[in-house]
Amino acid sequence: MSSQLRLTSRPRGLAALCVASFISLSAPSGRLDGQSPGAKGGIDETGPYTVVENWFQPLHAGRAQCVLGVYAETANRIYLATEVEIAASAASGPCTAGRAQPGSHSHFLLVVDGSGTVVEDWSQWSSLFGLPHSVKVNPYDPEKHVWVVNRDAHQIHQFTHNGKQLVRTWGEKGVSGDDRAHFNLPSDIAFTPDGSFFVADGYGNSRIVKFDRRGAYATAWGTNGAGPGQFDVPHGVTVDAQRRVYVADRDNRRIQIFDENGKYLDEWPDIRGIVQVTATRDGAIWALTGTTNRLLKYDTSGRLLTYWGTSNSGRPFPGSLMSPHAFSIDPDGSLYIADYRNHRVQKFVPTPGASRDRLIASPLQ
Amino acid sequence: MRHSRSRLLWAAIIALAAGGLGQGQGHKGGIDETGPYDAVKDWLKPIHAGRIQCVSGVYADTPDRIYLTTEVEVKAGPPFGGCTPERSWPNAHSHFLLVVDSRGTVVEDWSQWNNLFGFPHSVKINEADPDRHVWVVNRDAHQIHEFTRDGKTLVKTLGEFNVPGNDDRHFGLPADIAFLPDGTMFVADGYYNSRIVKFDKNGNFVKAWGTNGSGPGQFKVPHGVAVDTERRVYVADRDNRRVQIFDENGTFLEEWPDIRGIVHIMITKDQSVWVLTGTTNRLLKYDRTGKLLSYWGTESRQRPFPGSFSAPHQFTVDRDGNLYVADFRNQVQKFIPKPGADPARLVGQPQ
Repeated sequence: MSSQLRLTSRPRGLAALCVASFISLSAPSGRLDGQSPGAKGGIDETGPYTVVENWFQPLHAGRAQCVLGVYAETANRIYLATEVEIAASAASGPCTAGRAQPGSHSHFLLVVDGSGTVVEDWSQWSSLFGLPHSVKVNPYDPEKHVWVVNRDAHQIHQFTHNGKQLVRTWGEKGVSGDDRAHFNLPSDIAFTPDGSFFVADGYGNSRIVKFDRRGAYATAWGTNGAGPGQFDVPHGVTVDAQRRVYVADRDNRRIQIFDENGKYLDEWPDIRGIVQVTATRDGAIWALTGTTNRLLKYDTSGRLLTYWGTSNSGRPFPGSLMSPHAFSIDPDGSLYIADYRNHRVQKFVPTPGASRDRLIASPLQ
Repeated sequence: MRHSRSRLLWAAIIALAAGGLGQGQGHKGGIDETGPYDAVKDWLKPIHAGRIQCVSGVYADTPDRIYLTTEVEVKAGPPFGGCTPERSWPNAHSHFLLVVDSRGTVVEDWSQWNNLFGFPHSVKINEADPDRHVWVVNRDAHQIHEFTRDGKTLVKTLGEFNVPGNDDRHFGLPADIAFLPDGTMFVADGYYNSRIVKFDKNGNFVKAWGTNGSGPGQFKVPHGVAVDTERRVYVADRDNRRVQIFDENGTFLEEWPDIRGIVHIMITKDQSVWVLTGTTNRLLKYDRTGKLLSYWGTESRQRPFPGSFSAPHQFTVDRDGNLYVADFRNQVQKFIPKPGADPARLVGQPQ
């Protein structure tokens, strides 16, 4: 009797597990939250998130920011790296030409509060900037210094949290190079808990540069190419809890994974348009793709678990993406996307009832 | 016994989990670019070197006989947007109705009917018709044509050539057609009119419903139409971004909102509802209650790549399960189910 019970109950349990695995691993087939039960229609336009319409408040009426980098330190302090300010009526597209136009104005580094209002413009540092490509706060730093990857000046800057002081600069202004003291159009930065950091370098060079916690050059690896350990625009970098270094190898359309000393471990191919890679506390790896306008979730073995993202072929609509360039998650779980070719940054909040499996957990970075 | 049984179950678990996104076990990376399908690269063979067809409609009669309606033939390469301006260019050439074999070679060009065509917008076969007649919705001429399978005979025409209207003998830029097994027809009419027109199997007008607007039973460009086994009529109400569902006499039953860019709708034998969206470049699966079950589709923002979409317009499946998507500048693309793909993500057979 008891063995018969075991026999019947066990396969049932397995069958339930079977169904559960199928659903959690098969989105965007399976459960497409935040659909409420009985919901009809929809195309999963913004995935498990609801967009906050017109969140960002323009600095000047009728003008928009071309946002390249975003980092949410808290829900009320979000850093933006911007390329140039252009007319809000401009059609979706790249902003690069706008930088050369007469009267073009760039803010470079803005701080925005929870209501989307610009509360700080670090214009005191405008003379430093070529093109700020990425902004991050070292999450392990109690003083919350702000790091800016200044692509076109070939430099990395470390500022105090309030922006009043430039603490340190790596690289030489306007001078490219691939030695220990120079970068060539660097693109991104990532930190480890002990303060050492990795620079994705970049558009000109094809390497990752590691610095120790005192900021001294430690090592560098990579050459231009498509083989293991080679790069074609290493555009984003992150470090997971095991101190593995993940590189968004943009034009090779892949993620490459290394140990912290540059030893090649693995690659995940066929990620067209990848611009950013981020490791989260739940052990997931999230990728943002520019040309294919997607946020994708992988497990640490590289298996695609879920994704979402909808592009606008004509005029932008709330939540649509066109060549997104960076994303960030605040401690409340809200998502911010630098929606570059739509000339905006968008805020998304989790839709009530959304599956946790589809939401981005707190980032390690 | 217990051992082998649990082993079987675990095997099933692994198979299902791996099948989820059409990936094999241990598969790394990817972005689900073509969903559970592999795209056949350069499937459609050019009629003229260096030129491509802007394909508006596609219907697979068999895996070796696929009908295409085309808008115009244009030069291959950029720009990768729409095709309409080229129609008025000097020397514009249109083939209108092509038949393609399984290798993508054009085997028939129904050029004998070229003088009929304005802009053929959709092509379909009534799956219940043993003669497999070919129906073409001739949008810009405001007509619907029924041809024999070989294209030699024009069996029937509804509407008056180049004369728009919204009475029982005219259309206003009709967009699509759907059939009941008994031959009853529903025409999505269309870009000028905002109505569904029902005809009996002999082509006699039965009734029409709909006006321009956004309320229940109103339309803004009813662009696609399909019928389920309960004779319910599903309308892809394009510019209202929704599916509307009616009984066969036009009584409004319900709507599924927020389907941005919806252009085409198809109901499969298993009564799943498949929707193609143009501006959002997606193929989506719903159950009959309107619940979204799965989707895929990747836009080519700049340069097309195999399997990418750029405003797709109509799709069809053949009896082997191959999928064809008409996509103007991407011509028509053929997709083959990936080995081990999750069957729930594959488009089923037309009813």
